[in-house]
Amino acid sequence: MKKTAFLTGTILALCLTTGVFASDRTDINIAIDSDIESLHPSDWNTTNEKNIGDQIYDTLMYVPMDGNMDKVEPRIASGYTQSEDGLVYTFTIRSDVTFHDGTPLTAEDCAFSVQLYIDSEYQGTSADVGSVEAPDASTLVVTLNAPFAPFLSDICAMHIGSKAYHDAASEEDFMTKPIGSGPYKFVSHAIDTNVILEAYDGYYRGEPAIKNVNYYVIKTTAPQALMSNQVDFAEIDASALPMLQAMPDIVVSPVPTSGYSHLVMNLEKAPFDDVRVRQAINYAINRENIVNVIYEGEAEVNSNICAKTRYGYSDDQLQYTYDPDKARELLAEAGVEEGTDLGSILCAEKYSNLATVLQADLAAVGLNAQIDVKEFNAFIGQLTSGDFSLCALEMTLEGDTQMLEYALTTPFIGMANNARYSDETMDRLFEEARVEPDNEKRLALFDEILNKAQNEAVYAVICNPQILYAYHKDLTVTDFVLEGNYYLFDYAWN
Amino acid sequence: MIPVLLGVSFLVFTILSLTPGDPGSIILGITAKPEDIARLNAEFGYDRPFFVRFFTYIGNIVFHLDLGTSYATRQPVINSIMARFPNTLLLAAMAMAVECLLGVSMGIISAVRQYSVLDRVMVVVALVFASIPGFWLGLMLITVFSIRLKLLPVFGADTLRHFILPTLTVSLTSAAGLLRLTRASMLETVRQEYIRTAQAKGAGERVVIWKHALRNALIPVITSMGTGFGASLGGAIIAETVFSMPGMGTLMTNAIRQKDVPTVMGATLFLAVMFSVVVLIVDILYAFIDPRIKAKYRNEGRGRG
Amino acid sequence: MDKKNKRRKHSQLKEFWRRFRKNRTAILGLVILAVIVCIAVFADLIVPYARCIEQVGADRLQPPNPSHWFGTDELGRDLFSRVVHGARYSLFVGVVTSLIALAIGAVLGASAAYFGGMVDNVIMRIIDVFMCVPPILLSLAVVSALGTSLRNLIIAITISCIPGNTRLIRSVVLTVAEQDYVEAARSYGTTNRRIIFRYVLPNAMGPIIVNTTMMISDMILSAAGLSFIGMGIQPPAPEWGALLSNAQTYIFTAPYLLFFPGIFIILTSLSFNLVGDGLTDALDPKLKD
Repeated sequence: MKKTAFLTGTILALCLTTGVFASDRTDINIAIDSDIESLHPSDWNTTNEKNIGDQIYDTLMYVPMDGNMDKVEPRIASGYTQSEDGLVYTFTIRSDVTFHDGTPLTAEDCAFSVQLYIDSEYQGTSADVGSVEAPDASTLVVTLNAPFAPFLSDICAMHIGSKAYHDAASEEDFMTKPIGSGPYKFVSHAIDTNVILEAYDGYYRGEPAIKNVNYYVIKTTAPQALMSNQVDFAEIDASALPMLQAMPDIVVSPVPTSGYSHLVMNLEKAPFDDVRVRQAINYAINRENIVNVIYEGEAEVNSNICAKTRYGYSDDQLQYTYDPDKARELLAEAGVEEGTDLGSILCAEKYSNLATVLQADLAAVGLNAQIDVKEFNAFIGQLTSGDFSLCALEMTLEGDTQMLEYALTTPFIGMANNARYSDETMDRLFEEARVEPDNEKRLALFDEILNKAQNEAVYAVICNPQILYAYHKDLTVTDFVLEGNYYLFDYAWN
Repeated sequence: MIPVLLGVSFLVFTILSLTPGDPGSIILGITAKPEDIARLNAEFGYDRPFFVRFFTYIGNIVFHLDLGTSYATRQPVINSIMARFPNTLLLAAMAMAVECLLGVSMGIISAVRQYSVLDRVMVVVALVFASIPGFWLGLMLITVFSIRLKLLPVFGADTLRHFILPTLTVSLTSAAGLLRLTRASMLETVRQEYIRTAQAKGAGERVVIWKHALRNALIPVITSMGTGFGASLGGAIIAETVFSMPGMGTLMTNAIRQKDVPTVMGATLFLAVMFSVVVLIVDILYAFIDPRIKAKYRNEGRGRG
Repeated sequence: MDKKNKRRKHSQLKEFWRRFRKNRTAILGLVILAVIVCIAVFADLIVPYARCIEQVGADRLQPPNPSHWFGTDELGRDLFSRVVHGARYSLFVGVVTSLIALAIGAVLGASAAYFGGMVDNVIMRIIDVFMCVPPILLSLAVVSALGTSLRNLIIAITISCIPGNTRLIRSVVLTVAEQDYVEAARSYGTTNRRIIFRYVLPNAMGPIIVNTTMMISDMILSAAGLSFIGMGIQPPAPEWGALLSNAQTYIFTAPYLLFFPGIFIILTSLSFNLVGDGLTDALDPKLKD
């Protein structure tokens, strides 16, 4: 009996205390879809860990992910110079930067952090780094053994941590109770519940407008939480878009990404070893329909593995359009008969709808395929070992366009070269692009690479899905650039 | 109890070993270098054979009281369990309480007014709720109470408010079982000789029901609570998922998907121990309510099953 | 002897039916069940299977209308056809898992109860082990290990409900085995197998039938739950739980996607529960009025 009374009491109490909403807010509640495990400067793994790390740690410089070098801004380093042979990078480190524990940040901390990245199992750079040195407190010198064109964007993605803290603290504390020099300091993390940050008053660029940041772990119901005003900012799934568009006080911003949704054909298996079959499949896919039904229109149709806003893309490179007749023609030419069974489309649960639509598109040109939804780990295992015919998935190879070598060159078969495509010319082109310092020449190399990939129809790329950020209309945000990294330092409430 | 726990460990360990993938590649993803994956697997001891891993694990528990380190978080499993178990326990306990309140009271009324309209309505309503998938009910409750009425939170476990909807989700779908059990048990008891005797002696209906019938009728109900608690835990897992609540259910479902063997093992063993404790408590309670049991135990020496 | 037996059985059935019929909600359950079984059996006559996998992107997310009675889903498929054909999967999974679990539970439970001692001990300790793992986690782990498919879904759900079944059948058989006629049969030197199948199981049938009916309902719900978290069957097959799993994000813009499959799950599950409830009353000899 007592228990009922207690319950009714709670219900009454909570009726009285809902929805406190003032315009002078200085806090923000953000939904993240999975708990974080590490806030280590280099040993992080998920987008959520990176996004939170971006608020806690600062970087040497800010390089936007779209490779737009006009928008590079100084941060911890006030500037850098590069030797003529492209091998030596010298950064000048500011002297007024402090860590959250009050200790000053020096070039030694930067050298230490860069080394952490290079040694990390989780993150790293494809560059061949010879040495990382701090000759004095305000100079960081990084020497490469071979030129690596996109090194600046690599090194500027690295979070700078404190060497002294690393030496003093336990490994676990260094990973879970981070001390950075960014605009927000870490306060607490409750497992599977929340991560709390607060503004660091000693930040060298001044104190941010938003003082308290709460990241809440919400696995599936982030849209509902936004709608009930429990959170102010969340990345949402395209399927939740119609639901949120119906809400007047929520804004949804689409952010372009270099991630691509695609159908992988296993080139080691017939009939996918025939370029005409691959082209036919590319023509058979109704990309507009997929963008519409799977991504609620929030993706850019693109059959090119390189996103349209990414370095190296050109409209002159071949685009496959929806042309089922041409697909049938090519199939007939290749001697593939009507009703041929291609085997299964392997996919993870998340991509099962994508696979379902692709299955229908293939059926429309006389190609049969089943769908094989696998639990994520099994899916990855089968994908990397090449034990599949077709596979539907989204991939992200963030960073410089050089990253596309993961999908297109021989050394990465068994890792991210899912098509198992192996071509000497392609390997050589990527090797050349890696060390080419001249912008024009490098662009020409990527043009050649992408033309080749398109003409040979290595993948059947469908579109570049956009990240969807949904947030309260009173929150002022900055424009989101490619990949959607955000810095709460720039945010405020109206 | 020890052999059962050993059995549970072996069962879970075996099933998990059959799941495809290795922790290194699951954690690092497909752009990772094979040597990094191998290094991480070696760090976890995952490169060693099945039985070596199993016995090392058991050895650590027995000799060091150590449930191991999670592959995913690289922190002691016991930390993740202790951070979540209170939520699950509270949810399961609240759900049990509400369930008993609803199930037992409706069961009694149903039995007393057997074949009345009220009886039929209550039985049918309870059966309707028992037929609703938990996740579906949860979503409906969110829609009505959180989004339309903005009364209750959608996610989290900070205050008791956060527990109201999950509790309802679990208890409403499982109250039917208790109602039926109470009703049947009451009806059975009412037909027993001593109730007839009491009635014949001229005791009022109220006295017969409350004093004689109820006490005896509740015995099977209490017995069923041990397993009922297990069912509540199961229901709690669904509710935790729908309401994004940090609990044992979300911990284990995640860990199973990540092939985080130490976490799944630790959590399962922990729950198994808790489950046994609850069954033990129920047994004691049982003996307390029904003095005949004590005598029975004394005669048989050891109870069966 | 045989004739007499038959006649007695016949009148028993008649008496049972008379009592069952009096229970109006049970009859309602039976009617709902009959309709759903008809839908499942004649699904192809009601609407061809091709219709439920046909995607018309332009027609996506249409609310119910004369050409799409239940509306269309996010890929532009007709929801009515999907629900109709989904009846096959849900009923099939519910019935098959329950029957397999019943068969295994009967063999284990009956042997444990009948032989007692060592056999009982071993079987029940193994069952205890399984009972310690919450059924849904057991199913989840089994599906993770085996992969997603209709067959594996059936295996996963069946495994998770064998322990409960075994316990129940053991206790029912224990009660029956103590009856005089079993003692009598044993004293005549009848073989164990014959006693179990001829005397013990038939007499334990009542509670077992009721339990199985109710179990089907639970199994339908479990299957829907696993499909809901994406561990059910392979698309584009229209299992009801799978229909719901994509629907939750359309809860406001297209609530019918959540409504129709949900209602069918509830009705099916409810029909088994109502019938089971009716059976309990009708089979209970003590409830004779």
